[in-house]
Amino acid sequence: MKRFKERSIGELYRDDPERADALVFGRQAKTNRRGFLKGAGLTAVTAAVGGAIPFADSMPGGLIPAALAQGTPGAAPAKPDAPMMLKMDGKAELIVLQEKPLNAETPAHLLDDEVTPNEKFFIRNNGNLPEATANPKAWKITVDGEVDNKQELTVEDLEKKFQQVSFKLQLECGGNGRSGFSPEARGNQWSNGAIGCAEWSGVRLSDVLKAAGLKSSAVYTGHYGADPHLSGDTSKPTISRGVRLEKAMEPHSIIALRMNGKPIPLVHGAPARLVIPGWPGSTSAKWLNRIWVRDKEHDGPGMTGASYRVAKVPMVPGGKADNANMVILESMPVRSIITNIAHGTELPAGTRKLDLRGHAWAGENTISAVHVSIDYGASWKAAEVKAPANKYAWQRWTAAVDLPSAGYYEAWVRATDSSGKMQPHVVGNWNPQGYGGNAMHRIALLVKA
Amino acid sequence: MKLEFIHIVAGLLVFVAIFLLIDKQTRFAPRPLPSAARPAVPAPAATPAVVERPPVGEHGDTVESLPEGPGREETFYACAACHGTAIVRQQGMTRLQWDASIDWMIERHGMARPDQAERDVILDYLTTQFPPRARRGRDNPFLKN
Ligand code: HEC
Repeated sequence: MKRFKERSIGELYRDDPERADALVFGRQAKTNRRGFLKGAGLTAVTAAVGGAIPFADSMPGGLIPAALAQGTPGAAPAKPDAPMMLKMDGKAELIVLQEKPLNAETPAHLLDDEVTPNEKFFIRNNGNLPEATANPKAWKITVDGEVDNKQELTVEDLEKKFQQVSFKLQLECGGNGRSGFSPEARGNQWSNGAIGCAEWSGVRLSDVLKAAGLKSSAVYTGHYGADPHLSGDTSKPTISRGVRLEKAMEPHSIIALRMNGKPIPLVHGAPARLVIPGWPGSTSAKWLNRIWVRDKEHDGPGMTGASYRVAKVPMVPGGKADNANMVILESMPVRSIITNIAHGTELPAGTRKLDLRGHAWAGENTISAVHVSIDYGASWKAAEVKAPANKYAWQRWTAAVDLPSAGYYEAWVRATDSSGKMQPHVVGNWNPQGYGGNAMHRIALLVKA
Repeated sequence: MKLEFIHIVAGLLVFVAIFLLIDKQTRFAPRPLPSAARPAVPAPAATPAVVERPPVGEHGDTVESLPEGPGREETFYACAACHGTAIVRQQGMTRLQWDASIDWMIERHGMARPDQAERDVILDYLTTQFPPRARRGRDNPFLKN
């Protein structure tokens, strides 16, 4: 027994999933890749997940049950490696990935609101938080580069001189879903919670660029914010990303001054930030103080190498990237989450029907279908999908499923976008920094006996 | 042979049970924090624990925030000047990837260049403590480290 003491079941699975199945549970992967449970094995998994497994026959071999893979949110953690919860005024208990720089994601079950409230919005910082400005109205944004009239616009100018617009826009970290990569990709190990869809109000970026007078040489933007570099070197921009001019001119790309009707909280970019919806969140510079219009692809920190790039020709997972093969990630991929019920929820004995609900979104695209499964993908049921509030707002889906008995279930959700692309079972297209990881969302449920 | 197997299975079952009782880790959480770093988890209602936290955007890490092993101090002082250790503990990388990460910290982020001996110590530490954890999928016959 001794030599197994240090090994958790999770580790066994990580090392060799199929062997772990066979060894621990007596489950063997079938040639059709679906596992089966037999004899003592079934009892063991049952014990492990805390209930009978009604769809044991279709439980995939080597795929660690969701109950073991994620742990139970909300349960009092007994070990120091339990997730660290955010304690911050004006913020909900998000899961802290790191404190400096502060990065925290929203558990899926806190994302149930149609419009994400400020307190539940995930936090992604690349640098230190800047000081809050004493006079937000006087905050200056410079627009320079390939323009006829360089602009120095204050927040007050933006409020007075430009048309005010308001949209519900999804904003998602480029690395959302990174933790699904195998082998691990470098960076914050987000699950699915680096997403929010708030109501953002402000002015169209296109109006501001037009006011500056775009030269015919203008093809790209470069965005700068006031967040100091972590090293303390004030000459170094923390990050500076940009977009093709076409995206900057899209009517939903805005300089936001308000978040859900209120001044933007400091941690979300007060007093002014970009919101470039549907593209990696790093293009939506917080604490915006400069837009440099470029005559070529922007080359600020975060634009080159493997940063925010995916492999054009698929590369070997874990291998060394050829920079010439890395292309900028623009539209975020299709993704869906279950939000009305938390991973690890125990349902009362006798529960035989379950309403499922959540959101789905797909970067530049819309959602054409959402399906749910409670039998590991052996069968799927179509959900109802609502139209988005406006372009780039996430879409509400709802479904009801029947639970044939008590026991352990996993609810899986899978969205398909308007281009026909569907979320995969596992994250593919490995790239060193882990972008585009959009495997289906899975939650574990237990119907009490 | 058969008996031993039954023992192993029995042992594992006990372990599974214990695991389920105590090990609610999420695989997305950073690596184990040894005692010094205090994750602020909801305390039981009866005993409102005083959780000391650094100001927002600061890390309260100490050397003990990294797992024990040769090179821990060197690594802490080289790597926790700009950010906390959580971003390091979150990773599981090969030596090659750690080596490239150090280059990146130097070239892109302005980390002071360690001399070769120090670099080797840090690299040994990172490679030993934070290797790729996951073979979450199948074997990769093409990957040679
Ligand atoms: C001079 C400052 C500095 C030092 C010293 C430093 N780093 Fe970093 N590191 C950074 C910055 C800045 C980032 C980017 C933060 C971001 O964008 O989220 C970063 C990010 C990282 C990341 C995440 C990379 C990613 O893809 O998101 C890892 C891993 C990392 N550092 C490891 C290390 C290690 C290991 C050391 C010590 C050998 C180290 N760092 C020392 C500044 C530093």
